[in-house]
Amino acid sequence: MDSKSGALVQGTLEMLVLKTLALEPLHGYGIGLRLEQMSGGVFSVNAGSLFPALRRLERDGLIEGEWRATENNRRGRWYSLTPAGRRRLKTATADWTHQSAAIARILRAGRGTS
Amino acid sequence: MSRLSQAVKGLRALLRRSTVERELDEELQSALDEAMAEGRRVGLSPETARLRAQVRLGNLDAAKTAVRQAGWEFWVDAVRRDVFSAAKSLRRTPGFTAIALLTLSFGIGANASLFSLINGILLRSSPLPSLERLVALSKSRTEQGLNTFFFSAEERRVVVASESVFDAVMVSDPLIGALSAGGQVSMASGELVSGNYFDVLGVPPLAGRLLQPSDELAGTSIVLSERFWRRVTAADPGIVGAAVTLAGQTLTVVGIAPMSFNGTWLPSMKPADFFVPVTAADRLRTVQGTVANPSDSRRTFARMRAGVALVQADAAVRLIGQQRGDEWAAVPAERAMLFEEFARPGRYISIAVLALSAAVFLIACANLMNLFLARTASRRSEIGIRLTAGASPRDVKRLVLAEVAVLTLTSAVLAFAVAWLFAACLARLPMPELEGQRVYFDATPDLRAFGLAFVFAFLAARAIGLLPAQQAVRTNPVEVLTRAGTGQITASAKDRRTHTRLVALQVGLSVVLVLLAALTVRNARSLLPNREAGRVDAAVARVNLARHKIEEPEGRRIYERLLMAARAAPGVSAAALSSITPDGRAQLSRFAAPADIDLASLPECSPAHREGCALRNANVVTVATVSPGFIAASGLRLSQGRDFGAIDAMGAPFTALVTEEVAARFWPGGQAVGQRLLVGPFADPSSGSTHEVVGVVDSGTDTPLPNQPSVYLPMDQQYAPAMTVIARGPSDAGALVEPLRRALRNAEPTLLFSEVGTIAQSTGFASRILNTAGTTVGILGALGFAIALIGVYGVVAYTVSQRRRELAIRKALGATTLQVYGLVLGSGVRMLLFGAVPGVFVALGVAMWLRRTIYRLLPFDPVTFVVVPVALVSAGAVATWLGARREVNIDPNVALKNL
Repeated sequence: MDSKSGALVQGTLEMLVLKTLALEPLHGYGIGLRLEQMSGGVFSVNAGSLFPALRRLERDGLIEGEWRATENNRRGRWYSLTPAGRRRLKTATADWTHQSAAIARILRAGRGTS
Repeated sequence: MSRLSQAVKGLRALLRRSTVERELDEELQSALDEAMAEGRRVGLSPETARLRAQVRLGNLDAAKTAVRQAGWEFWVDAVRRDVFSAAKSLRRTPGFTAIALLTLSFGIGANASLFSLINGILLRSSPLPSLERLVALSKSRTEQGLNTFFFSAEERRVVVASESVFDAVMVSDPLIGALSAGGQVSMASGELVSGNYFDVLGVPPLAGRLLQPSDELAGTSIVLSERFWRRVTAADPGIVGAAVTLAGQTLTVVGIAPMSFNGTWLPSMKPADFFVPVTAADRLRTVQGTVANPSDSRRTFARMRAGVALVQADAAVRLIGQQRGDEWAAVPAERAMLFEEFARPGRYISIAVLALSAAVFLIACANLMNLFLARTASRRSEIGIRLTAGASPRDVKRLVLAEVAVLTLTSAVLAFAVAWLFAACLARLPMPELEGQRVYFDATPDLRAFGLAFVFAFLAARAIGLLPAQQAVRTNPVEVLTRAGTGQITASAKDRRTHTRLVALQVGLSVVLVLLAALTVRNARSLLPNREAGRVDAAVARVNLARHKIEEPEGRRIYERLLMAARAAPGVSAAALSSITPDGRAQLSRFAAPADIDLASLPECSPAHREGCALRNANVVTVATVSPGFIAASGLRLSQGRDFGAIDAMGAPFTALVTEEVAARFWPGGQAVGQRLLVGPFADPSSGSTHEVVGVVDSGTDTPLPNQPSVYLPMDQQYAPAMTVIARGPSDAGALVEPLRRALRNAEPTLLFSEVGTIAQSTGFASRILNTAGTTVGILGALGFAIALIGVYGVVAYTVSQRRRELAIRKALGATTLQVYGLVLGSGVRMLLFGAVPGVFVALGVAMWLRRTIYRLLPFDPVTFVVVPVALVSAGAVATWLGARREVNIDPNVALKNL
């Protein structure tokens, strides 16, 4: 994801990370991979965006990190949602749905008049 | 929750930095490993898998930086790094750093201490918790244009009756008297208060109890202030319950009021020493403040009920006044808490002093900005290297701003030390005495001053840092590096103009300061007694019998004994008494006219005029009563007639001495001696007394006494409750002070003598205050100018070093050292004049404004206005020469070789 996309995208990335973790705990690379898979390859997240987002989410107490072995038997940091993170994901999803529907309506209206 | 979690995790990161860093490394490494493993799983070679993983994840170092910046602790770290690098860079130029610190800490320190001083005099009111609900009652009589805070007991009862608005009415009035406690007599100032005074003000006792309404019945109790208790009785724990004597009356000490409470007179430089119930006044002779009022008229305050606004209280009081045909009002209590003679000049002086300290601060800032600009310019190669090595312009800007911040914050701390030092010095200065009491100046900086210092430091940082930081950012690294070390990096014309303007600003401001200081001091001196007082000076001591409750017949006998004792004192050749204080106060203003005049013929004296023969300049004289031998003892001379002698006694025909000016006014061209003069009160001159003029005082003679009156009456025929003993001898007046004091004390051991010293020492309170103010302004001005000189030196040294090549070429082409000096000095002096000339005009304007508002300055005093700017510009020229010396004397061969 490009850092030039700004605050909206940054907030969105955090929401998407929360979403990937809603199903099961993942480690950093796993989160990136899952995002890519879930978006059908539209989003590829580089480390420079993903790891700061993880740090911020952890600082806000929305996710929790824990050192564990990875599938390849290496030590990795696994992240899981905290109850606060779960609540945040709920509100963020609702907000997003609401806003994107509104934006879509605006864009449709724009197309109609032009 | 989120905030807390942020704080805890950030702190952990700060404290366990290496662990956190290691974990970050490990996490990113594991992500890379996973990505590679992923590649291997789909069958890529290890090498391709690694490349693909790297592409996928992007720059891991950048990611690390981004992660670090995600927490707040990153900024703590960044600030710490900035401070360290700024401190390191400042340490490399110790001279610059020292000058900058000195300049700024004095600039800020002067502000902090002056603020504290003004605060101590004017703003630091008694911390009265109930002040917001307190109002002062004021009464104005339009026909007299007078405004008074004094209400009679009957009027107070009417106000008390309006219970819906006020729940308490309280009285406090000033009182000065000789208070003897613990075997020591001292002049003390206190307050006559109602029994509910301390309750209404909410002051708790330090020891014993404070006054209560029941104390008003007997009127025999007294509360001492903690300050007085410590100072005079050395904190005697047995004082509560002991008896003290105030103006001849024995009172019982019931308690001590805490130091935090200074009474209800706001300039806390004159805190109250004692508090007595108003009823005690009947038995005390009150001397100052209340003497002119009917005995039960007192300064009256009222406490509003909770929830009552000032407007409501004012309306209620106005209504009461209207019903009585008077104009009453309720005003904020502070309005009645300022001494009238202090309120106006005090406010002006404090505004002036604050403005001046702000000017010093401005000078300091301008100077520092200049130094920083010069420093940034000479650091171009360093900045160029930083820029080429990858520092962004923002980083460079941050470094410069960090340096400024480190300097200003350090200065703020130093400034506080400066302010403490100033307060300590001030506490040691001899303070003026008024009516025998010390006046206190307290400049101990408090928390507010500390806050102020930091606010100033912050402003300074903002003001100083901006320009140099921008200049640093403008640096072109390529240009700088290709020319590094060649000395060809020269300041732009724009930079030079900025320098010149900043120096001009400093010089101009300091010229204004020094000029005003010189004017103020000169003005204060002109209020002092004769400046040649060293030649004709006298030893003096003042006694006020009224304060000891001694009445007329006994008083006359005491004056007689004091006069004899003074004349008998060793070294005294002439002694006399005068009702005028050593600094010329206590003159009575009276109506006077030739005795044969028909009073009814004066329009001012017509019966229709209710005020009597008021204020016709021609008939106003100032009167003193003096003892026989006064002319001889005071150093005055007579142009006609004789001095007072034993024949001017009580029963004898009334006599008078007049000045030449009065003689010419009433008997133009004629012989004054032998004429008869009517002297009386303005309201009813015909009730006055008629005196035969026996002598005319030569106005041209030197007398050490300031402000002499125009009519003298003999002491035996006109009793005065207070007198000054004047003693002269062939030797120095200073040597007479001790013998005089001893002789007077031996004659009257129970009396209190104040203002003991020589006339030259005993200067007026006003002129002392002015002198102090002038000295303060002078110190500020000198400080400002010293800072400006450093600025001139720094800028000249810098600009001349920029012109090194030009000067060397000039010298190589045959210019003499003298010519080169002329060139450099010329531009330096132009820079000085650029500031000094407008400075003179600004000072002139301010002086004229001051003259209208505060005191009789002499704004066109040519000596000051010529000497001060010339001296300052000369000093600036010397600084220019010092700054230029090294570069001008350099050998052109050496200079050109190094180009």
